[in-house]
This record gives sequence, structure tokens and C-alpha cells, in this order.
Amino acid sequence: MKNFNTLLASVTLAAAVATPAFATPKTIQIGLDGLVCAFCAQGVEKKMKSQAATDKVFVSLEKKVAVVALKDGQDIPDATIKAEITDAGYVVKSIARSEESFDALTKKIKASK
Amino acid sequence: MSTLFSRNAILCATAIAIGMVVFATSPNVNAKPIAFAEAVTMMHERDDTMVSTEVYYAPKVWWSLGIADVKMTSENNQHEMDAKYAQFNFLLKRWNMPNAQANIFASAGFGWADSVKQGVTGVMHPGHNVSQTARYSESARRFVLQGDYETRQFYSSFKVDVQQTPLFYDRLDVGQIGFSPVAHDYEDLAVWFIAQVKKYRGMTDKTEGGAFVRLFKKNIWVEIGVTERRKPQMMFMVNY
Repeated sequence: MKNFNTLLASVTLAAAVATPAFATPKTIQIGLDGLVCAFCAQGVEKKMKSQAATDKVFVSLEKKVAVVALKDGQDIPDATIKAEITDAGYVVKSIARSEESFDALTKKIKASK
Repeated sequence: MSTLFSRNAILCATAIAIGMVVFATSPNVNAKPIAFAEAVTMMHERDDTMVSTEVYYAPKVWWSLGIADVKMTSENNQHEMDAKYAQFNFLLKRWNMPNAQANIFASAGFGWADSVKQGVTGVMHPGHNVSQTARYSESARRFVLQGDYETRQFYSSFKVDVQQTPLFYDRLDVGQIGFSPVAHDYEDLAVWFIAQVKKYRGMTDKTEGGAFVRLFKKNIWVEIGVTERRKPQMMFMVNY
């Protein structure tokens, strides 16, 4: 039993050293078509907020994007994002995950031209 | 010029003041019957010939179901109708473009209408008319087709609204075109200036222009304006 515990600890340590740090996304940036008014933004916001992995949502009509802040260690599959946005009545143009924080990413989006 | 400006400013201010007073109360404006999926939409509209209150729930973005109460008065005040409908709304087609969106909606309502019609039926003595008031209740149907195209700074729409009972037919066509001086974002107060033409057939027969200001922020949409005959018109809509 002692040998087994030693082996398990060794394997775990070896795996931790050998495996590169997994990039856990903190945010998802979704490019959208058809966003022209506050009702559109509301629809997208409501759909994305309904996801268990969602912490908060930012929608920009000007930049035509939605940013979803993910709860720690969680993610939303692309297929789910596409299905939810399509169900809301809009078209997904792009999906990009980022390690940037929600505040940093939304600030960058707001500042971009 | 300055006198004219002042007069228009006073008229505009008066219209807005009246609008704010009556506030919560016109089905002539082309508000969308479906805002977004899983949303409740409440609309209240009023002008000089019509008052309507509509509440809809949209389980999906392509259809909604609810009730509509439409009160209409002919321009000569001799015919009033109060119709209540169970109404279905369908998003027939949506075009999502990078910088624009276009939609076509169709609605069908089925319900009941109570009408009061006053009319002169004869002369009892010289100079003394005898009038009769007819009251009747009957089944009613309503069909609406509407479409819109909008960007963040340009808006256009059309609407054909037909109401029919065994004794009564009314059709209202509405066309709107407008602009927003600023390309608003989600958190901003969007201010729109809209010009409108309405063609009434049936209860009232006339074509009338109008203009209004639309204020739109997050889930609240308010329109206040005047018709070319300087009658106030307003609309309030909220989604949640």
C-alpha cells in the first residue's frame, strides 16, 4: 500500500512537471450579425446568461460582439453557443476564447476603433 | 423664422408634456410583436382614433402568443368599437446582416368586439332629428402584416392592420421612416426621429402624416409625437 502511494505521488508529480499549464479560458468573445438595437442585445444577453458556466455578459452593438465571462474552470462548447445565439435569432460569425479578464477585454473592446 | 421656431418648439414641448401626462397609453406604431425569445412584451399605444393594450409572451424568437385590446373611435365619434383578441404573432423571416436587420412579421387575432353606433334615422318634427344608438357584440378577427429594416441609425417599416367582424371592416396601413443622429450602443439612450404616414379605411377614411420622437433604452421604448392635425400620439413598450 505504501509502495502504491509512493508510486501514485510520483506519477502525479511527474505529470504536473511534464504537462504544460492548461490555458483555462476566462472569457469568450462572440462576433455577431444582426445586432442593431437594445432588444437584440437583450436577447443575446439573456440567452448567454442562462448558461450555467456564465458569470456575466457584455454586449456591444457598435462592435457587434458579446463577451461572456466564464465561471472558474468552466466553459461553454461552441455548438451550445451557436445553438443559443441562433435560438435568440442572430448569427454567430466568430467565437474566440481568451485568458483575459472580462473587465480587461470589455475595456479593450470599448476602446477599439 | 424665430417666431415660427418658437411656435414649433412650443407645439413640440406641449406634445411631449401631454404625452408624459397620459404616458401609459396607440396600435398604429410599428413596434415589434416579438422582441426576443423567452420575453414578455407589453405595449400600450394611443392616438386620436385608437387605444390599444397588448401583452405577448414569446417562447421562441419566431412566435409569440398573447392578448390585445383595441378600442377604436371613428373620426366623427359616431362609431366606437372595443375588440379583444387572443393573438398569435409569427416572425416569418429575419435577415441578419453585419450592420442591419430586416424582419417580416404576421399576426392573427381571434376574439370578440362590442360596438356602439349612433346614427340619425329620421325627422319627427321639423328641426327635430331622431337618433338611434345601435349596440352589438360580434365575433372579430384581426390580421396584421408588418416588416422593418433597420440599422443603428436608419429605420423603416410598414404595417397593414385589418380588423373584421360580420358587420364591420377596418384597415390601417402605416409607413414609417426615421433616423437617429447618433449610432447608439446598448447602454445608451437611443433617440430617433420618425416620420409616419397612416391610411385609414373603414371606420375612418383618411390619410394622415405625423412625426414623433422615439426614446429607446435597454428594455424600454417610448414614442411621443403629433399627427399633422396636431393630435397627440404615443406608445410605450417594455420587455422583460
